[in-house]
Amino acid sequence: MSMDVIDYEIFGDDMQYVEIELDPGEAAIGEAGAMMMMQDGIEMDTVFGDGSRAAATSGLMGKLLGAGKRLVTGESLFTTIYHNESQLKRRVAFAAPYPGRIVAINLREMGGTFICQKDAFLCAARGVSLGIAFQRKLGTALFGGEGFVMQKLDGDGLAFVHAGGTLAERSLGADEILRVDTGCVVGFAPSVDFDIQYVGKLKSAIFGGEGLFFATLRGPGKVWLQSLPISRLAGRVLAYAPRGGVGGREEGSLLGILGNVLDGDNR
Amino acid sequence: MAPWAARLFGPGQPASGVAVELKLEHGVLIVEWRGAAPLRIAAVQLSARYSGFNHRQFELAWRDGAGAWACHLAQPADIASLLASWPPALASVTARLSPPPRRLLSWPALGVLIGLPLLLLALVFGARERLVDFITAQIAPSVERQIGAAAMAQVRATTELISEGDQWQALNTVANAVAGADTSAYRFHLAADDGVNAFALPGGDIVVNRGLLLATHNPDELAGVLAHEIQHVALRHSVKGVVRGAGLSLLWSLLLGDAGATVAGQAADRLLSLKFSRDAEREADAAGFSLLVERRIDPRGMVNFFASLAAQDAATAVALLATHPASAEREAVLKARMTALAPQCCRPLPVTSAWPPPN
Repeated sequence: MSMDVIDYEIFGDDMQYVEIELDPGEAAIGEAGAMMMMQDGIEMDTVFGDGSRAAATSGLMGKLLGAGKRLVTGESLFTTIYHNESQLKRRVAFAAPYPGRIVAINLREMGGTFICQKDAFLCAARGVSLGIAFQRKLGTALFGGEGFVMQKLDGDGLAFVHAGGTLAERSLGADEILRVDTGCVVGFAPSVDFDIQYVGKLKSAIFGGEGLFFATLRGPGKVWLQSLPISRLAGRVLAYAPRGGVGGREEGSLLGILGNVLDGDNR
Repeated sequence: MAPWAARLFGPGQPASGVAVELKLEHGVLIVEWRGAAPLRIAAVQLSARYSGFNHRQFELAWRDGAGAWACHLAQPADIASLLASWPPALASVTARLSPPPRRLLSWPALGVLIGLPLLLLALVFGARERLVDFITAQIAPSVERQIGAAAMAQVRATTELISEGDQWQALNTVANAVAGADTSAYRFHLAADDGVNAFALPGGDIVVNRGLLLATHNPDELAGVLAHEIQHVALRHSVKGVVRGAGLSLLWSLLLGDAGATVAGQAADRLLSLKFSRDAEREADAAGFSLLVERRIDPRGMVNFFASLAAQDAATAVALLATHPASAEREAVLKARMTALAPQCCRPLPVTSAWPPPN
């Protein structure tokens, strides 16, 4: 499968966006809703499925399957392709949806495949196909923090993934083990064994605040970790968020919260 | 077929590995890679296992002076052919190989796993009215009175209650007429508040604002409001509301779980409890009407009062978001019942003062 070779530049510190330069005729795929800006001459085309060339030639069933996979990973059913239809180099930018870092993954260097958590994908050169990788170890799926469904990026071009907080890239040697807090794994090479490990001591499990399990990543291969999973950030924000509701025709705050529950009221 | 494509990981090599080709000749593993002399490792030194994500890859690992090395085969066909041509003399290397995990669950099992809880939830949701009624029936009236007393204490702390004067007298007269033999079950309070409102607390405390009293045109209208509130207490709407609210939030957290769903859950929750609130109002209307007829009080007062409210809140919010049914809607329902009423149904209430009482 031939890839479009794209040049890129990443802007920003903690709220980043990536600007991709497309030569005439080149194209990139973006996660729906990730596009931030594009220059004149770039045409946007939304396709059903994952937009890879393989999917484009595989008929209706193949397309439905591709779309179904995206539904399972929680992505939108459609992918948007950005073609450069002009005679000049043109740029399109994709922005990260929450504070964190964008990293470019060269799939050719990775051996053609990269496995990441399901909402990490941001954009890629056309030709990268987005698939799902089912976590087949029950324990890892339940307690590994990334769930049953992970995303698999196949191809040999560049793919851009996004992680919450600060991104850590680690190279694991053969049989080298890294223990990670569950939920902090962004992605890894397919040669890495992703598993879980019981914390070991009951006291640590209960009072350590890290939960019952670590995620373990066993090399060889590269792994990417995030310092602040968006779910954790959301949990904290929500804990401080004011609780509001849709207003009704009611007595207001005579009884406070109790009043809302008890208002077997008027007329 | 040999040579098999693999990726080599080792000291001094790129972290994501190098593409290599493997051969197995006379008990020696030969690793051929571009631009370097082939590595030759005696196969007896190798350790073999399934590794990588989901144990889909086959790993041959060894150690030398520089550190740990590993070769990964990714293609299932390559793995199968390598294992098929593995010499029997080296069986010790592959003897303790545990096969990679199979697919976690078959599709039917997965379907049942997902479908069953959903079915259960649907059942609970479908039977929720009966469940709420059942749980409400389990709550002792004494508990209800305690909740009501706590709420009433809060009302007393924030609102000035009137317990003398013509208005108070009039309220008591009408209230006794409406409550009839059950007078002891209810306590009526007049609040010095000019908002047109009245509310019932669990356990029997009913608070009527002075504003509402002044907005009525005759004692029958006040009787209509009181009948409505009495039915809220008698039908235990407050307790049902609490039970329902608690049950709903439990259901939502079971169904949606994570933090992201909480906001949507709360909104849906709110809409459903508003719907409940409107249903409760309709129920109280209907039962209140029956109570008035039973006490031989003219229910036209109730209907007329709702009509005057309807005239006031012509420009109100959409019905979906309201805690009360639109006044016009309530009026229409009650009017239909009124036409079926005998003309000699009612007696005037024993109120002697002018209406509404000035003080």
